[in-house]
Amino acid sequence: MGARVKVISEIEKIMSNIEQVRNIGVIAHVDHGKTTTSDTLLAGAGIISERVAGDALLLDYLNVEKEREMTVKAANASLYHEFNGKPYVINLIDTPGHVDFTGMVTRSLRVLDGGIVVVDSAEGVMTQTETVLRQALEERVKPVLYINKVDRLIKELKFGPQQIQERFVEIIKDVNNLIDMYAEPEFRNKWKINPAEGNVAFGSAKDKWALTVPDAAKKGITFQQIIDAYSSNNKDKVVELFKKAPIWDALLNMAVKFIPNPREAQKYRIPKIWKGNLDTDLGKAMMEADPNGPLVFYANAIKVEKAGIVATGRVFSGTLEPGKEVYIVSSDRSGRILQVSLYMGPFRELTNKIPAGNVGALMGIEGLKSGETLVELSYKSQAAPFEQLHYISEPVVTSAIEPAKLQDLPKMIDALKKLTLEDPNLVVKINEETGEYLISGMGQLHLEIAMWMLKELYGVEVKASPPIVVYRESVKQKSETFEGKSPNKHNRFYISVEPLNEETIELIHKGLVNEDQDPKDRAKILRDKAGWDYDEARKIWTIDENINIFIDATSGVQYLKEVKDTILGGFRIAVKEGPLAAEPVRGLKVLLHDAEIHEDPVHRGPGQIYPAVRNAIWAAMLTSKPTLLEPIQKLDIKVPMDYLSPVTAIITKKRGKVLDVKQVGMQVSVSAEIPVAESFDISQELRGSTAGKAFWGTEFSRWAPVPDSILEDLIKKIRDRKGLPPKPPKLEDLLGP
Amino acid sequence: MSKKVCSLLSGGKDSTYALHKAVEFGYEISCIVSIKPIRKDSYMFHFPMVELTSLQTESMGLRKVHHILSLSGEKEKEVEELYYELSRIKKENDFNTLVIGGIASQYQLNRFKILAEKLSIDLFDPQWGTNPEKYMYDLLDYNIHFIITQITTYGIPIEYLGIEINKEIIDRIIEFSKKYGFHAAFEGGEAETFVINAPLFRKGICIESYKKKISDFEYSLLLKNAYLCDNAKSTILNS
Repeated sequence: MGARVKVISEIEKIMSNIEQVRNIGVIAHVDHGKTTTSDTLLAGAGIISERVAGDALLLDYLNVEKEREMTVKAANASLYHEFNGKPYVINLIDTPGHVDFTGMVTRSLRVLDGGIVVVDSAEGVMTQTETVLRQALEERVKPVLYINKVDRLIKELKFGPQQIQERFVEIIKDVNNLIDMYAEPEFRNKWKINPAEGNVAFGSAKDKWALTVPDAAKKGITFQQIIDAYSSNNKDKVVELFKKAPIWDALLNMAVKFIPNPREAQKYRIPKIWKGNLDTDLGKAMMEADPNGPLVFYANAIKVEKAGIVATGRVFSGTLEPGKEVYIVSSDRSGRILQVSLYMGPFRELTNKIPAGNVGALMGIEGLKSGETLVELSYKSQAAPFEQLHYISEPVVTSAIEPAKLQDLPKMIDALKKLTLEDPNLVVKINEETGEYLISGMGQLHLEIAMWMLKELYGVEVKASPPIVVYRESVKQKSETFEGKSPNKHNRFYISVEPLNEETIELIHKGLVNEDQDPKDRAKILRDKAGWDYDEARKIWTIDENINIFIDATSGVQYLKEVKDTILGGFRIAVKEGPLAAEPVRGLKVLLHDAEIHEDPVHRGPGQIYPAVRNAIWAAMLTSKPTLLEPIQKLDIKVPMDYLSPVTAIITKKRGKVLDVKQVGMQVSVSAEIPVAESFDISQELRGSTAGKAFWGTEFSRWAPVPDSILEDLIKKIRDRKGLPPKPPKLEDLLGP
Repeated sequence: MSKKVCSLLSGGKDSTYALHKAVEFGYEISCIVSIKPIRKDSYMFHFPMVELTSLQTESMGLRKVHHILSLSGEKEKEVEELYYELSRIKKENDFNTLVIGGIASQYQLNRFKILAEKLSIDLFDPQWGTNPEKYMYDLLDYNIHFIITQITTYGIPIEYLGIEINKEIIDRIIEFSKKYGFHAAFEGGEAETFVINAPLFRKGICIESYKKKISDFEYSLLLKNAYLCDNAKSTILNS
């Protein structure tokens, strides 16, 4: 085997026959073998163009180690595979493996039709297996299963054939349970994993082999033979497994057989993932993946290269061609495609067209962000984005950074700009008072990766402050109505606040309720799913990005329309930095009950209305049990039975809670929650107290109120750090004497 | 016919400037009226502006024609009361024009128009409709020296309270007015000012006061002492 040399025209020909195209990705819990699986697939089934092959690069290319570096950075790799004598192009879209990249996982899932779920046989289904599979099912991405690291069952756990089989059954059962739980009813049964059908393979990606149950029978390979291969000291026996059952055969056969082609998939995926009207020409063309229809392209990955921005993504309808004018939906502007390229292996090669259903890349549109939808300009009126991507993670940790060498500042700013384009979950802000650059991510590791990328990819070394946990402010009960007076006393606003219920927060977080919705539709959803009063829900003026709602509950107030934007400006000031510790407010419902507004515009400017509205909201918050919310992390720890009590002790010490302990064979699986604020040295502590035998995964779980016992101290600490007076404002500071 | 005017004087930059303009136009100042509203928000009197206007009229040698009126300050009643008081003064000392210092408040202008109509006199409003940013610099060029005695808006820092306003501070105020959206000449009630020296003043006014925070976005000077002096000066005392 090894890389195949193809000319571009051969690949173009396969791509234009949609039945011979598949779009897949590999999804897994961290360290379960996602990267190894992707790399070995590429090594075996990669295609390279004559141009690259003709270069001296060919030798390097065949060197697996070099490829490894390649795939880590490639947004997509197109693989060539033959099945029953027919050629296929299989696009292997990179899904970031680290837990801290959950947001990017969601984005890549959108362009996949199928996912190879990789599970470490020794560890079984873990937190992130569940998270990513759940995300995949939400996007209607069909799973197949690869049970990896079978060698560990033999070498580490000394399992016999019976035990191995039992372990497989257990993993398949767990995966099927998740499908039962999270797949929509119409897919629940169709998508179940069934060993007899061959949509599950087992093997070792490191040793480059994989087998499905029907394959094993056909090839006459038994569990005992596999056990023997790994038990003997003869490495050739393992190599023989690879020769008989190379990983790419099993996995890519599964992809061809069980993952639908793009046309079949788009029929049921488009109604779920695209927001627009299916009865328009655009909608119809997408349902059919029609290469002759209007162009729709969804960019899932952005790379900033010397020559400009390269956007990799999927053509959902029409044909991607240089020279086409496109409309960029979410930023409401247009641009012209200059270059189009297809992937051969991990390399991009220029081409003239990429038809619907395929993955490719385009250049020429500056400022493009990942997650954008492009639509052929003449179809602008029918354009709609792919659903607003909602993330399971939120940025919760912030560091202030500065370049190690002052003269690197412009370079650092430039690099940060590129990083945030490539990873929108990374947020960079400038503190206007101090001029510091603040970088926020989804965990300490996420920030460490960002620093690493700054250094390795952009050559900027930075000094970073210790990471700071980001809090939110909220209230626990409903307030009275407060009068906010403008400083000139000519305007008055009567405002109360209350906490939003969990259902509402969830609906907004998932994007099911949002600012741009039709108010009637939105009110119906809020009434039916979150217990709102329909009339109140119809009066929503705004929903902000931190999940706060402003409602106009007034009637017949003169000049209200004229100052609506100014009032909302005051609302945004109030919730951008709350009264307790100047942290963003979350989950607040603000009701405007009545107002007196001066008839003369000069007396009701922002300088007057902002403070009036802010003061009333703050006063209302301060009297309705205000609290700080802290980010809570979910921990999934697997550890030998003997170490259960030290692990539990660490969790308790860190204000954590053990949610569940399950015994799986010889080990226990501990599911727990701890505050992110306490998590910075948890890796060391867990390793230290378990002789390095614990392995674990973390992910963002939820926002939770900090315990009352530490609230006051914490507020003081944050205020000190920000240079604010030690105590939050008093009511008379807000309402006047 | 030469104009005999009655000038409304609050003690702030706008009414002082309007009075100067009237004199520059050759009008005869036959009366000056300062209005003292009886208001519930007592903090308004931390800095008793109206009382201090008598120092200004004394300095201008116009003390004899200066009237301080107490009005209720209630929205509709106020105009009625002012009408009554002005017609009383007019009988004693006739005038045919009312001088006001408004810049942009249509609301106030409308009320004064009604008032003037009822009194059958003209309105003289030299600054009306002027560009507020340019106007702030014009005040300095005209040698109107003033301090801010009270801040009632989002966006003006407390540092500017009680210090004589110079060009640099006006640069900053204009910058802030754009950023935070208040009127650059404070016409929306964003701040009160007090004039401590002006071309018609024979002596300056010396002010000694404390700074006081009333609430967020509301700061006032707390007056300790004010007197006529050779070199006008505002001193902030440590509380």
